[in-house]
Amino acid sequence: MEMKRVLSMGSRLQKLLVEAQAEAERMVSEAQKQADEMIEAARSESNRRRMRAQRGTGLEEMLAEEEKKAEKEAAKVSKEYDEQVEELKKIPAEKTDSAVEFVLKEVLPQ
Amino acid sequence: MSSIELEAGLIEKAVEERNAILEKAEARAKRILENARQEEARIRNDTERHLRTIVGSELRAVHDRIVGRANLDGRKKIMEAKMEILDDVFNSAREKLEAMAKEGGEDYQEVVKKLVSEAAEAMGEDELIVSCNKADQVFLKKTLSGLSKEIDASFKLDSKPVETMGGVIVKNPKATKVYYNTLEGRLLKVRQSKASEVAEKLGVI
Repeated sequence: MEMKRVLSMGSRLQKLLVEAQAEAERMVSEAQKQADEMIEAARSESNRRRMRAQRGTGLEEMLAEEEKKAEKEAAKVSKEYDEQVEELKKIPAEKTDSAVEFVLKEVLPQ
Repeated sequence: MSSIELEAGLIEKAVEERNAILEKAEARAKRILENARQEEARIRNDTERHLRTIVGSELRAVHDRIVGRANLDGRKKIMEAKMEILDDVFNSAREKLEAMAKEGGEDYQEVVKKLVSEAAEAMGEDELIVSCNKADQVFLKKTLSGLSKEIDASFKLDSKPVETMGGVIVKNPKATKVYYNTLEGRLLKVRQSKASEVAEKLGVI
């Protein structure tokens, strides 16, 4: 009687392992399917973009992106020039006075 | 070993094995997805690179147009700022000259005499007509005869005053030769010829 129970238990456990194996295969297979889809989508998108580019269309996105990047760079450039202008304006009074004196010396006959 | 212990051992072993199977599968699935993500990124990067080779010149044009404009505007701002600084210096010099002429002191009178002499020497004429503003006419009337002795030329003062802050305009009787030696004229000349030297003195070159 006991032996029969142990055997029944063994059989149930065996079934558990078979199911686990099936679940494992399902998980791997699901991941593989998802991976294949991702790669396939990327390849399709790539082909679509390459073909459009070769026809000279579909570049708006790239151009818009480049424009955005360039505008960011341009803002940085402008800021640097503004800083230079501010720096330029910080002339000590002595320098200005000396420049005015120089001009007067040049204008007035010696 | 009792049958219960035997059962417990079997269950424990089976559960461990089950967990191991599932963990291994989970790790494998994770690896598959990670590899796929890497491959996806590689495809995307390759595509970007490829597209950039096709439309590179257009992208460069977009970049150059926008960044080039910013550089141009920036250089213009720098140039304008430098001009503004120079304007301030020359305006300040102009104000000092105006004040000096308005005051009409001895220093200024000496300046005007030198301006007349300079013009006369440059023209090399025997007879010269000197024009100046109303205020300068007063003292030039008295000074010109003295100057005639210093310089070998006779001067006649133009009775009609000219609009100038100071200085003189000297011409021969037929007005075929005219020498502009007004203060504003000289200031303008200095501005044109010495601007870079002034900028250097200001440290804005």
